[in-house]
Amino acid sequence: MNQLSIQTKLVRDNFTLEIPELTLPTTGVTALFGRSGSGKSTLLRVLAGLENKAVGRIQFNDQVWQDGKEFMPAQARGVGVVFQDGALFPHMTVRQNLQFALARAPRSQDLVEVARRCRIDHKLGAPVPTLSGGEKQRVAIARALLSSPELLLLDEPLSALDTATKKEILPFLEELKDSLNLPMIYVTHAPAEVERLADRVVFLQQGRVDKVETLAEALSRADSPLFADEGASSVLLAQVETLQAGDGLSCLCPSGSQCQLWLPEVAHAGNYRVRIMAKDVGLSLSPPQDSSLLNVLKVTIERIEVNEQSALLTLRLGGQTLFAQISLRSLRQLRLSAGMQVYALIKAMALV
Amino acid sequence: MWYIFGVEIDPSPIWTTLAVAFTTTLVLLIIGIPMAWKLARTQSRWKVFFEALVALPLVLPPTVLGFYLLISMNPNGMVADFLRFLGHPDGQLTFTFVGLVIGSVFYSLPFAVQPLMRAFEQVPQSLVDAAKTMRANTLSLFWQVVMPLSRRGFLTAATLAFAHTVGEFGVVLMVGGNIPHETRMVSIAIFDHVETLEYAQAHVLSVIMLIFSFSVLLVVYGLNRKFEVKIG
Repeated sequence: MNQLSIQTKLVRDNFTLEIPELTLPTTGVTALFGRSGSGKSTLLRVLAGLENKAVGRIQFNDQVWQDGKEFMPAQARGVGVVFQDGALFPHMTVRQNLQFALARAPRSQDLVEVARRCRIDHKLGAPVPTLSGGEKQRVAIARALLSSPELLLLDEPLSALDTATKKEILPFLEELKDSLNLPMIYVTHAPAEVERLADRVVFLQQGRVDKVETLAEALSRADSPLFADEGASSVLLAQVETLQAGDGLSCLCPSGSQCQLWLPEVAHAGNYRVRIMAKDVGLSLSPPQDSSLLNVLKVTIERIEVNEQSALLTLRLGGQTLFAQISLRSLRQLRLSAGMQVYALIKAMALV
Repeated sequence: MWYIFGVEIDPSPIWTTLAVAFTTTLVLLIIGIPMAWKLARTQSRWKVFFEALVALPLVLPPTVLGFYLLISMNPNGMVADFLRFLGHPDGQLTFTFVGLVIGSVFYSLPFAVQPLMRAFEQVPQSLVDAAKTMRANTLSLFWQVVMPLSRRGFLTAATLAFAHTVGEFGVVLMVGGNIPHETRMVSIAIFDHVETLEYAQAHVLSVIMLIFSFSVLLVVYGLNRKFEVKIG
């Protein structure tokens, strides 16, 4: 029974988390998505065993974590937690932090090897206060991995980092996800992180579960909460064809299609999720001959949704979905309608 | 007998004082640590109640505290009965060294618990949580994470408890009495000397106390600076 079943209630002074029933597969990455105050971090703490006021029943695979009066403390649950601020012990070096986890782990691991994989092996002797924000999060992740968890919980691990560092850590998390066979629960309010990492999304609102969807389902509807702040976006699953294709670009091929997708050099080979904002996609009836736009993808219009200022078009590329948001003027001038074959134009530089 | 500035001084109150203060500090650290930890971490509505209780000796006249201790430790009372039951020859605590230490522990409690509590409150909850998720038990959480991050609190607690015990008078007089070589502490010896108009002896002991107290505080503030723990 590879699933995490959750039934919990936690009442605080000005906030109640109440989940009558939630069952999640214990594979891949589950994102807990919501605004601040939605209860996503609280739910994570409940799972970690750090909220002993929570009542209900929690079972992870065949292990009962909580049931009625029975409460398995955090120490016994075998979860690794990466906290928002890293929560590194400030009076220790990096190595001592890692050692703290390893010394209590049920299984031995090569500390230096894990540090190397997290690219902090050159910092082992460094005191924690000398680390940069990105380094701290890498150490926090390495430390969580060294405790040999059966479930990895990440509490907004990127939210305290600047944009440049986020761009550096996100691909690292993708790599981890691909290389480890470790279920993860990832708390975030950033749609980009959900779209790059998650396999399924739990939408939380005011302490309740609003919806549980696979990423594909969550991205297929225009009214998805993922689009509420930054507008619609889509994710194309693609294979890296040429990692270094010159001029600082990589060349990828979206799964189920024959076309090429150019974007600034990606971090790793293999499968890659390309996040494309709908407002970065333009349309043309014929392929442009003399334009700077590198990505010209032949697509079929599946649906057109018109609202006050713009139109949102659902496009088909192979088996995948791509959103394009265009002005009503363009929609009228090109006389676009469902079923038409058109060319989607995307700047390579918009795909960072 | 010591001769300081040509004045004959009986050093035994000094030794008694140091022994009482040392034992009291030790006891206070042992019972103060769990109390302070509990108070620092609890979200219970009773927290205020216990905080006030711990702080009570700060405002209560020492004679009040001493009076109640004297009553509760009286040779025919329950405490004495219980001690006799455990095999103690007479169950007598008042006017003994142990009685002095018990009185001092109550009287100096806030001086140990409050700095510890402030220090524990400074340890971020996320560090405690992180240690727990890495399977750290309470003992190693305490020794490896909480202790090193609250060194200043420990130092302050120990020094203030020690110094405050050295300087107490009221409780000591009520509970310990004034038995030479047993329960006569420096503060009482000074009072005695003044009563009997031995101003020279009172002067010498007072100067010793003054220098001692000032040096202790100097050391606390000095070490506090040196052991500054940086978090973040």
